[in-house]
Amino acid sequence: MNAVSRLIIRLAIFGMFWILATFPAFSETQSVDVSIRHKIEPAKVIGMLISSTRVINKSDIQVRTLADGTIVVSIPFESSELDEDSVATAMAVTADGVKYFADVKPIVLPSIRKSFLTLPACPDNTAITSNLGSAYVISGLGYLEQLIANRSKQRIQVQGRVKEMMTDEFLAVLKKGEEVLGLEFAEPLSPDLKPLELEQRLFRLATALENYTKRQTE
Amino acid sequence: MLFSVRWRILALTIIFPTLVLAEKVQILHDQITVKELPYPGQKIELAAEVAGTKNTDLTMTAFVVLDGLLMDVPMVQRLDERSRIYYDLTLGAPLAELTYQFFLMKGNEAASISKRYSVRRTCLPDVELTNSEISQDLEPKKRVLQIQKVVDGLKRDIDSYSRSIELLTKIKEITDQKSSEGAQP
Repeated sequence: MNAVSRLIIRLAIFGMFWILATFPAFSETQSVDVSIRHKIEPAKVIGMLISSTRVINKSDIQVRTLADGTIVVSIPFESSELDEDSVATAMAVTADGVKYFADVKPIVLPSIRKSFLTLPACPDNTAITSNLGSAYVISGLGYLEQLIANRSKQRIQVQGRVKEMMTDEFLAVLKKGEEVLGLEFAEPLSPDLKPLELEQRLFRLATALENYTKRQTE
Repeated sequence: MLFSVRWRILALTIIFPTLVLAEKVQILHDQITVKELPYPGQKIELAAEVAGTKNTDLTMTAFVVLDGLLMDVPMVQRLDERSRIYYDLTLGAPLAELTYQFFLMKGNEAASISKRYSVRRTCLPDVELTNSEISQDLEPKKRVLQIQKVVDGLKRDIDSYSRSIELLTKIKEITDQKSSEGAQP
């Protein structure tokens, strides 16, 4: 074997190692992110892989806190630890022993393993989705401004109606409902929450109450 | 040989309908795609068809993980014009991700379980309360864009508060009924 052949073989072997070392399946540890949406200082955090047949506690986790106080827990796992219906979650325990749970994330689908809180904000695509800027629209600016005034009034009305309905007494009932049904959130329930957050929390409470009532009657 | 083939055909003709009848109850569903996801909070309606049974006594529950929060939602049964059994589920669209799975229940036992469906946005939409102030210093085209953004944003806020009003009404009905019965919560 001459020197050139030996060099080619060495390069080929090196190339194979390089490919294997950089190939995702060989270099990346699989992990799933779950979020604890409470502004707390945990003394201990445990990751959990839960399926219908077993619960695996994971201590080799990575914990990081985002700017808004949300705690993101990365839980590593091996394929042997997964069942068809496996979900991941985490539990944080504070120094005074209070337990907080993370969201629940199915892990069979790789596309949703990373926390959605790290997704980028959507670009402002108003210009793409509308025919604005045309002479017609510009000439109708007065109309659009009137529409803003009308909608602003309408928003004040519906927002006011929400506040009216969420009296101190009823708000206490709602908060009690969230507490009893185990629906924990970082921010206390209030009519001043962002519209989407308020709606999602009320939807969850209404669904849980409906289920509770249904089970009581069965 | 011919006899054998005939026998096989005869056997299949007898056995096949039996196999069809004995086929498992199946849940059929077209998964929602990212492109079909409306703005967070807006209603999405999911339907699951049940094939392989005409039993209308079965119930269906959807296990839903909406932006990481798990809930089980009872589904509403309906029959279409051809008497096919459907179960409907109405949800608010997620901020980022939605995973769901249907469980067809016969009493307390699952008669059939669908596969798990999942959808995730590629970016996070803005869900802050819309600021309705329009800057007067912008050039006309940019001003129009900002106005349009505010018009759309206000509509979304109004829709979201309106759905909250519906939900509050529903919760009030349930809690009032519970308190009149003297039960918790």
